[in-house]
Amino acid sequence: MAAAAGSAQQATPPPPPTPPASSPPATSGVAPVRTVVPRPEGAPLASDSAVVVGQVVDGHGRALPRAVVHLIGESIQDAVIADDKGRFLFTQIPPGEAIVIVQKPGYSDGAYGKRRPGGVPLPVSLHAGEGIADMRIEMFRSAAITGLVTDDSGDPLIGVRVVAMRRMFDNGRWRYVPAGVEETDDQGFYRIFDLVPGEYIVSVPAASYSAPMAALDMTAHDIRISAGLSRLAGTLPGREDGQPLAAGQTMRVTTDGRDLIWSAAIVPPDADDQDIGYVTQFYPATERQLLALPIVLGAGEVRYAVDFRMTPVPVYSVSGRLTGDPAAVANQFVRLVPAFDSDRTDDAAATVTRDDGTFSFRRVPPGDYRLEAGSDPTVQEPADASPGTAVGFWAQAEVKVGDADVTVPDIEMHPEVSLSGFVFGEPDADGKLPDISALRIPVTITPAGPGLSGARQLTANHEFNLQNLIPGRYYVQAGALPAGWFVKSIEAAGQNALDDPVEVFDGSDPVVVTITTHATEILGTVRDARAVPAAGATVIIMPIAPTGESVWTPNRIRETRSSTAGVFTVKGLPPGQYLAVAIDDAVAENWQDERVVATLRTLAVRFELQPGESKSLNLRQSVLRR
Amino acid sequence: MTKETTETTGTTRTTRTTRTTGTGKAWVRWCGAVLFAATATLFARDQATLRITVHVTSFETGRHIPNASVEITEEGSDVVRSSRADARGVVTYPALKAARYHVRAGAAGYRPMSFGEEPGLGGTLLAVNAGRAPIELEIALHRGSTIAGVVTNDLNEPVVGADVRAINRHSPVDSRLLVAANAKTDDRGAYRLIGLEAGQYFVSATDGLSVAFANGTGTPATPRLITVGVDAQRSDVNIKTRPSPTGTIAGSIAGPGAGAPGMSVMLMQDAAGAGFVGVTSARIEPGARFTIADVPAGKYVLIARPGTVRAWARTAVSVTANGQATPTVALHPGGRISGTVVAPSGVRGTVGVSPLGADHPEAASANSGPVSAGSFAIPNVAPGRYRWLPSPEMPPMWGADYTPSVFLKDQDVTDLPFEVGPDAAIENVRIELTRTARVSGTVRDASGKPTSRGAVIVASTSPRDWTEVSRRIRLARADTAGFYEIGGLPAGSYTVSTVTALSAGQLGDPAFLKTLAKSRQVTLTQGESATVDLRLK
Repeated sequence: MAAAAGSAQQATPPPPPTPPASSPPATSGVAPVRTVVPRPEGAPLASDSAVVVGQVVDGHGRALPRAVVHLIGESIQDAVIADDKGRFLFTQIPPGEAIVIVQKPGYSDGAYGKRRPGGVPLPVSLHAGEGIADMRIEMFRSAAITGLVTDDSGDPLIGVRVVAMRRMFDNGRWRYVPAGVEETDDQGFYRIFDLVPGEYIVSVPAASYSAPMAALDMTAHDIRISAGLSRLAGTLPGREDGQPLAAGQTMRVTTDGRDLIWSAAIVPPDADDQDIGYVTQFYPATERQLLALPIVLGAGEVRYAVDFRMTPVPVYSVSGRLTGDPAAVANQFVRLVPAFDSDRTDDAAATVTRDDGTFSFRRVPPGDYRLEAGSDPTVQEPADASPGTAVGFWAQAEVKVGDADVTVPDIEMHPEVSLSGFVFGEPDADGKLPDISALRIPVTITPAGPGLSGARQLTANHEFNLQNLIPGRYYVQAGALPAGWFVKSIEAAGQNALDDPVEVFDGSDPVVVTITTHATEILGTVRDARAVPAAGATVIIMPIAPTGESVWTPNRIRETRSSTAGVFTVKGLPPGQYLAVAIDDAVAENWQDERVVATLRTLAVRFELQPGESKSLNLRQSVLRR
Repeated sequence: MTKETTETTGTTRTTRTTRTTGTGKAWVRWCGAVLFAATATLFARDQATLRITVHVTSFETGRHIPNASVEITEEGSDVVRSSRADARGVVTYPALKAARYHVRAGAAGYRPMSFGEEPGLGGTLLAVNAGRAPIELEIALHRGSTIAGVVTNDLNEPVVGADVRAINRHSPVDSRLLVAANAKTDDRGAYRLIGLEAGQYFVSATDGLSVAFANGTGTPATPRLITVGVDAQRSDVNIKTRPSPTGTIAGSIAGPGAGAPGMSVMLMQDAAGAGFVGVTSARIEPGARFTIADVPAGKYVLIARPGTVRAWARTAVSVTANGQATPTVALHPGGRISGTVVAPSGVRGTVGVSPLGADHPEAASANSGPVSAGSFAIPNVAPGRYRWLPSPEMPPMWGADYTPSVFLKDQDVTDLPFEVGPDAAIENVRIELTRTARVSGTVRDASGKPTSRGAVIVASTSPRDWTEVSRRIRLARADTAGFYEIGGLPAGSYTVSTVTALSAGQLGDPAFLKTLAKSRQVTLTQGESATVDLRLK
């Protein structure tokens, strides 16, 4: 697959602990303020601990008041609220590496050493009896998109969901990932805020859902969907939280006596009478995600007038029947995914099969679709390594909707398959296998194409078994291994699975992961144009494919940052030919873009790693113009 | 053609009026809260079914509202038929049986309204008689009023994600607070509270740690009422939050059941004028202890939510800057209400009390549990002001002709709010089922034609009964045929009058009720039905 090179696997130095995931309190309001008084000049420091004094600023260098500042080290987690001049102070910090992260409503998280909204924190080394007196942390103001949604007569559409999707590099591919959702107000306006600066497309999704009445437990005030159909239950209007309807809350559902029918978003006028519906719209006025106009938002930028005018289109029903084992056809989740756009994973319509395997989609706009039956591929289920999990079933078919109702030929359900594997330690010089029974190896599989099961991860010891997979090609990765251990090879049926996806099918050979303590190691330095050590530079290492093209090889791509002393370390790269390049972190956002990768390749240093080799690599920070 | 039948029962003249329209089409146009025209224009048309068509329009533009929803409910029925309007904003019911119906419409961005709704008077019933006449009616929806503004802190930074609420009182004489609308601030600190009725509101903003009010001053801010007119927009209701040094509350629960599963404490702030408002809550940890950190300095009240334990607690607590308050929230068993239920066998129900007002946040509803004839008791009643809430399950054949009345020392106190003090004992309460009376009649306009405009007020002549929970002050609309009926009245002396408009809470205002003294008066005995025909002024 010729594509942009892969995304980051963070190499050393790793951020010590996990940063806080939850939002900070709304400190700009009446929240508590612990005034921070920096240490007076000349005041003595405790000999066994360190001190950090700093200031939080915006992109213009102006002080930002009352941000929550977290210091997270190997043996400390502390947080303070900066004062009205943005100043903060940490004392009694145990020596070691730590990261400093800043949170404030209306801003993307900042961190020491973070030069861009999507960047990573730069660890600082804190030594006993020393202090950092001038830590300056920049925050990036969030961006917003706002506009108006009307119907075809210009009247505002109220309570309509509008979704902003950010372009992200994920598992070797660029995707648009939902980043913000808001509903239109009583005037039809929406405002999606708290957006990280980046590239977005905006849509008004419209999907049609239905479920057999037999699958519903209906009362006068509530509708519940049978267990196992939670994917559909979440789409019920007003039921996103899965809670019963509150008093006075209404749901807009209709029924033809056999099925209950509802819409994820909006229904045009007289939809019931004239079989018309809305189709998902992308800004500006297109039904194709490929034709959506990307909106590039800078820090603090507000993009106005991202308006939608929803026009009804004729819609038709799509009916069919699943065949096979009775347990495989009844009560199955079935959905239509737009196939006329690559990378679309949203529902155009979804339903549940009746006991006899028959199903009917309602209000489907004309177009090409992929019918998916069985487990929902978009759900990233936790993998179950234990044997005995119930076998699932799957089916896929192409569906074309023109200008009439469609009856799909019978679709046969197939049993899902499993992928088993073993983990071996590399034998020592005497050929003796090391005891790895106590090791926990995180193994991840990710689909190499659309329509497959979602990414899964499990923790294996000497063997593993991933069940309920749709047959197809998957990448296999071994994640962060126990200290001192590295991946040497991944093979399936004698083929290299370290760089290429594995073909998973019924009866496919097990995957063999070999780990070793004899890892390759790169000890490097980065210097700027004046030969001064470059702190916080982004170092990218990517393989050279036999074809000479950049390829998505997750096990061979590394992204790391040089330390405050300009040094970096990368361990555990498989032997092979590589390119290494160092660039200013401020311009490293989305470096996986194919054009950027092409430029990086011209700036990079080529080197080869032999098995177990320890290599010294001195890089000059390159100037990347974007 | 109108047919009226009259029958006499004892000393009470009972009139049952049946109106039959021969043929025709009733077109009932209603123009929102301002204009109501019940013009029954009859057209000669032979229809096999009773067809009702509801037009849902915007009062503002006059245009139909697609996707509006319409609910139609037969009088006395719990079955609500819901429908969605078509592209023209029209819903048609092809075959409704002769009865009286409540009709209500709603649409996204509009306030739901009943057919014939007028300010303070509510909606009117649609009378569908046996004339098989198609009826078309219009419900013009209002967008309602809007309060909008910006929430900023003392540094003029927007407060993002604050919860903003419009709060109003039940009525001038009923201080209970209701959240009429709420919204969250966006990245500009902007909020927009929509669909409000005209009236006065407190507007508060909270970030989960403390509460600030629009136009508030002081610490904590003193709330001011924001007035908004019909369909008006106030876009200048800005809220300023103020920083405050904070402290911690590290308290404990004491008393029987302290620390039981499900127990929590609520921290409440006394927002002068707006009553107590909840600030935050905390779970009770093992050892019956709780901690609330980062509490802005000030005075608060802690209320225990005892969960499965039947007890109450209220403790004042003062938080100082960087200080730690260590209150002990003591659980008390509460007061006890006991007495006797006098009822025929087969009648079961509960005797309950419900809190009134916002001055006693610890007050909570309590009841006896299921009881039949014999003694009853309501234990663990927290201090506060209450109303009686006896709820019998009447045998179906009794209909709505009986009502439970509460007697204390042979005085009917059902409609009198009462106070329960700490550890109080209210004994010898007697609950009896008493037969109710009814008043009905026809409302006519100045030309003598039946009309559904205005409303009928039946009010006790005794100022003692002019309470916010009285069964003896009643309001009803005449149906589209001009017929009104008010049942469930305790025996007594009443005035019967009409009004064309009523402001919020006016029905509970003694000054207003006093002006009704010169209206028609009727004295009702138990079980009596009286006919009082009225002329709308």
